Amino acid sequence: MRALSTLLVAAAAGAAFSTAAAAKPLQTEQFKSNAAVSIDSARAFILVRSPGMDLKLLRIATAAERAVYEQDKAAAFAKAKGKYDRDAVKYAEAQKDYETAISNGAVNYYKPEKPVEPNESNFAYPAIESDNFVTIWAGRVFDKEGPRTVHLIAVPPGTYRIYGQILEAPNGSSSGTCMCMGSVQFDAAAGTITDMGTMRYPISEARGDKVQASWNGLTPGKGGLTSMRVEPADSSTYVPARLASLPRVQASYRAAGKVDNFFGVMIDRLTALPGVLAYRRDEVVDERTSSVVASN
Amino acid sequence: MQWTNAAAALAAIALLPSTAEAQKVVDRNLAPVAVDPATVPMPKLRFTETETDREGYDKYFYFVREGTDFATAYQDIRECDALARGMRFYAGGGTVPYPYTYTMAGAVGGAIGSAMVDMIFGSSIRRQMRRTNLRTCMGYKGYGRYGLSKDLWAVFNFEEGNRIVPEDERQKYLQMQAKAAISGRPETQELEF
Repeated sequence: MRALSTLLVAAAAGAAFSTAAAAKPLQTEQFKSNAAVSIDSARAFILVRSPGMDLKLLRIATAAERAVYEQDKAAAFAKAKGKYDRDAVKYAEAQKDYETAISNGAVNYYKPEKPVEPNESNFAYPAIESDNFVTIWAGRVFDKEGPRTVHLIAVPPGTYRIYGQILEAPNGSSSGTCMCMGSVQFDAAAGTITDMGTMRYPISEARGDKVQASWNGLTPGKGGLTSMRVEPADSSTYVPARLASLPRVQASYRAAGKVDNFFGVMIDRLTALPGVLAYRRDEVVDERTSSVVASN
Repeated sequence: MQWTNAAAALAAIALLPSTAEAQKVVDRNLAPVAVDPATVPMPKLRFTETETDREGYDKYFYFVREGTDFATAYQDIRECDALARGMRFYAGGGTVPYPYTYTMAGAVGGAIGSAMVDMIFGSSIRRQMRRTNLRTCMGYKGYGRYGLSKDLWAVFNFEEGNRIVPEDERQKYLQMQAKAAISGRPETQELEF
């Protein structure tokens, strides 16, 4: 039994750096086709057509949220450090017992494992993005009267980046493609519907139509056409009649830099969007200012 | 019950990266790493192409970009390697390959999920994903892709399916890949993106 408890001490030491921070996922509500929609002033609403295989948006944390995150991280580190201090004491005792047992001729006595002190480099803490992903489920259709399915979701107000098409299985695995090497972002204000326009998949659409993939003079690979692009809404874009009288604005897109492949899926980048997003090799360029956008 | 919990805790810990590994990952991601290119062996790239070689070019290739120095090529390859494997690279790096490691259950769930995927699809799909991601990333960076015989390729490259290549070994491979990337335009034909 002592061997087991010693084992658990060592195990606890090993786990010390995996902190159990409280999960704070974003509160969202994706509307079904028969759902009544009323615009409340505390939430932002995002309208998108054709989200493909579950569209992931990444909400960009505000400066205030980052400050809170850093505080939480520091508190978690202090907690891990306190746990280490306690484990170190237990380890010293277990080591003493071990040495005594060995000197008394014990064999197969479990040798305690020395706990490792946490520091800024080895302390694993979840990225701030962990709690800031929004999933727009393809299966939850708000309206299908137009040329493409329409999806509506209520989210906390903020700045959202098109992250990619990612399907998460209940067992924790993920598949899909992230727009990790460049994308766009937009602001979703409270009390209004922000219309993202239509998500398009030029390469798979062309495959379905049995034609060569191309768009706006772009072709796949070095031709600049990627697996996903966004078609901003305009006055001709279909809007469900139920939403026609509600406050609604078109998403104002701007370039978004590279971001990590958090889900370990395929990587790509959003097709260049004239006037908004361009690329110089792998550098993401804000076409409005001709400046390179930093990685997130 | 305590035994069950103990077993679960130990199983969970076995699935997490060791502290030493985590340390290396962070170091790798934080900033460009200075390496003296003179200490990195130049891999052999010249060979007589055969039909068998050409059939293997989907798997066995290397990247070249003219006018690039070693440090730039190495940083580019490290970035693409991190993106391909889902490691944090931007914003200072970190140790979290996916967003749900904030609880033990999340960590175990993710690992088990990955294990399930491997059981269903096998590690070949992971190897293929890595190859495709590297092609995408290096392609966007303007590197050309050139085929190589399997034997020559194996000297400075690795496959990564269910096995994770140790960090020290990985960096040696990546450094040699960087050396190949600055070796000038090959005589063989550039392959598709």
